[in-house]
Amino acid sequence: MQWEHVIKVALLGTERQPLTLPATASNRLVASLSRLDTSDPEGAMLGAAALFAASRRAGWQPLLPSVALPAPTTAETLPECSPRAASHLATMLDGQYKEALPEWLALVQQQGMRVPARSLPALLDAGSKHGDIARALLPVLGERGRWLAAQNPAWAYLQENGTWDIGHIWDTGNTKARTVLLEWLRTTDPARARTLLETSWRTHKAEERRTLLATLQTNLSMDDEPFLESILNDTATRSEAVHLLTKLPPSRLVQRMIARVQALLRFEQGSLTVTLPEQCTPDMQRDGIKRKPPPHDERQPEHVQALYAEQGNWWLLQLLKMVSPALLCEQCAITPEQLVAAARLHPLREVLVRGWADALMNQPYDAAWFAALYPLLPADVLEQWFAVLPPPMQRTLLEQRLTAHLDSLRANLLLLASYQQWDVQLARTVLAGLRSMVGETTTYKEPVLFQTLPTIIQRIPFELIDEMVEHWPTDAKRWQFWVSRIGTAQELLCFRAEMHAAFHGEH
Amino acid sequence: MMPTLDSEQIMALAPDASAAKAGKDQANPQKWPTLGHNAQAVWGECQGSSATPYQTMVDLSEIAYHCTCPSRKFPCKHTLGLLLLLHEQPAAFTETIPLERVTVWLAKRAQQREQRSATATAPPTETADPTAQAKRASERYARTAAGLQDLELWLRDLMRQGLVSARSQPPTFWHTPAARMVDAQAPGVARRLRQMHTALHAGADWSEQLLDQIGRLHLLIEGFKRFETLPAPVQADITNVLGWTVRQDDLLTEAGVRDTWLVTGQRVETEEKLQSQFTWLWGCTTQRSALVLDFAFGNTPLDKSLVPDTCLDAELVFFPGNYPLRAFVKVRHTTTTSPNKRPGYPTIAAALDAYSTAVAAFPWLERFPMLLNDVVPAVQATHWLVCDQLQRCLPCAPNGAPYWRLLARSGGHSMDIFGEWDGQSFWPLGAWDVPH
Repeated sequence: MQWEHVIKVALLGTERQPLTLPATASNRLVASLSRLDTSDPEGAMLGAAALFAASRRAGWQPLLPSVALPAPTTAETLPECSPRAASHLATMLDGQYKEALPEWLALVQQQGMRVPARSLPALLDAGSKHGDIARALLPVLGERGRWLAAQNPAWAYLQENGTWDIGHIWDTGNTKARTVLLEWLRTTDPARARTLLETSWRTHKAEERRTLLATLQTNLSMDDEPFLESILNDTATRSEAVHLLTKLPPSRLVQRMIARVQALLRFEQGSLTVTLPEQCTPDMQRDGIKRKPPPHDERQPEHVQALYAEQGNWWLLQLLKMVSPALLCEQCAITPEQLVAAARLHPLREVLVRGWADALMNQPYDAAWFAALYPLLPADVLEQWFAVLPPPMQRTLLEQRLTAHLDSLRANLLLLASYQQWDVQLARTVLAGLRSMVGETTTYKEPVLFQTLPTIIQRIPFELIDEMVEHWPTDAKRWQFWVSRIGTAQELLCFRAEMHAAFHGEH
Repeated sequence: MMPTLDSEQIMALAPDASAAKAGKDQANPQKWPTLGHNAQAVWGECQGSSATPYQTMVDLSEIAYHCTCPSRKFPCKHTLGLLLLLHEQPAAFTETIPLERVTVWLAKRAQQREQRSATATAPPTETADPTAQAKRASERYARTAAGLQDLELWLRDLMRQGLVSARSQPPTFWHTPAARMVDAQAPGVARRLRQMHTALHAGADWSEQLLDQIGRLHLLIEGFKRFETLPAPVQADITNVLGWTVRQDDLLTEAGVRDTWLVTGQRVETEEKLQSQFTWLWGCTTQRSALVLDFAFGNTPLDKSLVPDTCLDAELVFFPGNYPLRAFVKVRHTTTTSPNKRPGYPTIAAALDAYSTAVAAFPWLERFPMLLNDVVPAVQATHWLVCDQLQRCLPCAPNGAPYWRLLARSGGHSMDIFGEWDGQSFWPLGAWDVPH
C-alpha cells in the first residue's frame, strides 16, 4: 500500500473512493495499517493519515545536490575595512546619506582595502541599479565579492573580466548590463565593443541605441569613424554620433564642416568678413545641423534667443560649434589674439564668441585660446566652461573675480559650486559672505543661492566643520526659509567627515 | 571586559527602524563627554536636549540596560549608541570607578537577582482551594472533550467528502470549527485549524501537508479519549497541544539543568497584535536544545535578555513532556564567551536521526532545532540548500535575501548553521564561521 493511494482517497473522499488496506504485514508500518478497521471507512482513513504522515516525516531522506557545489573562495589579498567604516556603509545602504556611497567606495580603493562580506549582497544590488556604484565596486569586491557575483545572474555585470560570457550578456542582458559590458570592453578591447554594437545596431530601441553609443567616448579613435559616419542617417542617434565625430578632427564630418566654415569666414588684413549661410541643406542636416532653434530654451538668455530667431545666425552658430577655431588660425597663419580682436569689432560678435567657446570646450584645454576669448565671454558661457578648466586656472579665475563685496560672491556662486578644490582660506571667506546673504534675504529673492547652497556647503574642507555649524544668523527673520536647506547639507558633510576619519584613524 | 555584542546583534535589539537609525547617530564619541567601563558594566554620559546629560548604562553580564532619558523606546537610542560605540571604538572607554547612578543601579539589580533565587527555592506559600481547583479542572476537561467530539465528526465529514471539495469551501468552513475549539478551551487546536486553511494554497504538495495535519489532529483526539491511561509526559504533551497553559511559577521548584547555553537563534511571529518570540538555546555540555518563549501584546516590548550568538551559564527548567523542548531560565549566573568549538550534529543524517526520535516521542512536533556543524549554504537554480561534508543536503524554506547574506558570509566554506526543520524545509536562524 502506498502513500499515493492514501492521498488519492483523501482528495476524492471515501464516499467516492474506498480505502484499500494491506492484507499482509511486510513491516511495522504496514502491520499497524492492517489493524485499522475497514468497516469504518472515515476512521480508517484518519488512522492511515496519522500513521503514514508521521512515518514519512520520521523517515525523511536527505537530498543530493543536483550539480556540484562551486569551489570555495580563495584567500583574500586585501584587508577588510574597519568596523567603523563598515557601519558607515551599513548606514548608507539603509538609505541615509546614500549620495556619499561612491565616495566611500573610492576611499576603500585608495586604502587598498575591500568591503565587508555581509554588505556584499546589498552593494551588488545597488551596483546593478547605478553605473557609478558598479564601477567603484569592482576594485573593492575582494575574492568573496567576485565569487558571490558569479552565482547570481542579476550580478553578472560585475563578474571577473576573464569569466565574462560576453556574447551571453550582450544577447540576454538589459540595457544596464550591456552598458556596463561596453564600458568595460572599451577600456580593454575598443574594437570588440564597437563590433558588438555595430552588428546588432538595428535591433536596439532608439533609447538604448543612444545610451550604448555614448560608451564609445572611452578610447574614441579614428577606427570608430566609419561606423559613426555610417549611422548619421539614423535621426534618433544623430546628435550623439555627431558629438563623437567632432572630437575626431580627421573625420569626414569635421572635414566637411571645415569646408563649410571656410566658405563663410574670411580673414584679410586684420579684418573678418562673415557671410551667413543662405540655406540649411539636407547634407548639413545629415551632419547634425538643425534647421530651427529649439522653441524656448531656458538655459539661453533672452537676447541670445532673439539672435537665433534669425535663421542665418542659428545655422552659423551650429557650424562654428563643430570646428575648432584653432584650425582657422592655422589656415590663415594668425594668432588667436588676432582672430578674437577682429571678432570683437564684428556685428556678429555674440554668435562668433558663443560658437568658438562651444567648439573649444569640446577640445582638450587650450590656455592661449581661453586667455584670448575670456574677456569676451558672456557669464552663462563662462559658467559652463569653468567646469572643464584645469583646477589651477579655476583658482586663478576665482581669485580675480571674488572681491570683498557681496555682489561678487553673488555673481560667482555657480563657479564656486563647480570648483572642487576648496581650501580653508577660500571656505572662510565664502562662509562669512554666505552668512550675511542668508541673514538679509529670502529664498525667493536668491534663487541661485537657494540652488547652490547645499553643493557649496559640501565643498567646505572637513577641518572647518565646527566653524561651519556656528555663527549662522539663526535669529534672522528669514532663517526659517534657509534652515532645512543648510541643515541637511551640514549633516551630510559631517557624515562624510566621519567617513574619511574612519579611514585615516582619527576621531 | 565582558564579551561585547557586534553591530548586527545590537541592531537586532532595536525596537524599531527609527530607533536603530537614531542609535547609529549616537555612536559618535563626540556626543559622549564621559565613557567608562569596569569588569561588569559600561556607561556613558550623553548630552541630549535637556540641561543635564543623560546617563546610560549597560550590565554586560546579563545584557541589561538603563538610561535616564525620557524615551519610551526600550532600549533607547542612547543605549544602542553606547553599545555600538563599545563595538566600534572600545578604546574610547576608560576603565574607572562607576558613576554613582551606575553603582546604585547595579546594586539594585544584584538585590533583585537574590530575591528571585530566594523565591525559586522557597516552597509555595499559598495553595489554592483544592476542591475548587479540581472542579474547575473537571469542567475544562468536559468542555474540551465535547469540543473534540465535534471536531472528530467534522474531520470524518471532511474525509468522506474529500479534500478537493474542501478546497472550494468558503473561509467559514475552517473558521467555524476553529472558533468552536476556542470555546472548547483548546486554542492550540484552533491555531492549527487556521494554519490548515492558509496551507490550502501553499503549493503543489498542499494535499500531503493538509493530510499530515489532519492525521495529527486525529492522533490528538484519540489520545484525549485515552487520556487517563497515558503516562504523565504524554498527558502533558496533549494538554500542551490543546493549548492549556502551564504557569511558569508552578515549575519554579523543579530541578533545572545547568549548562553553558549558546543562544543559537531567535525569531518573532506576529499575529494580530500578539508578538510571539521563539528563542533557541543549545547546551554546550548536555547537547540539549531548549526553546524559550516570550509573548508581548501591543506595544509592550519583548524580553531581549537572551541575545542571539551569546553564551550564558544558567539553570534552565524544562516544561514537562515526552520530548521536552520548551524551557525557561530559572537562574542566570553570568554571560560567558562563546565556545570555539560549537556543539551540534556532525552530519545531516545524524540531525535527521535525532528528528526521527523526536517525532516518535512527540508526533505533534512543528519545528525541530538543528545545529549543523560544517555545512555549506548553496544556491542551485532558485533553490537554496545546506549541504554537509558527505554531500547530503537539506532544502531551505524559500526566504530570499537573507540567504545571499549567508552565502556571502560563507564564501563556499563550511560553517555551523542553526535552524528549524519543519519536516519539509530548513529555516536558518543563525550561523557561525568555522576556522579553516
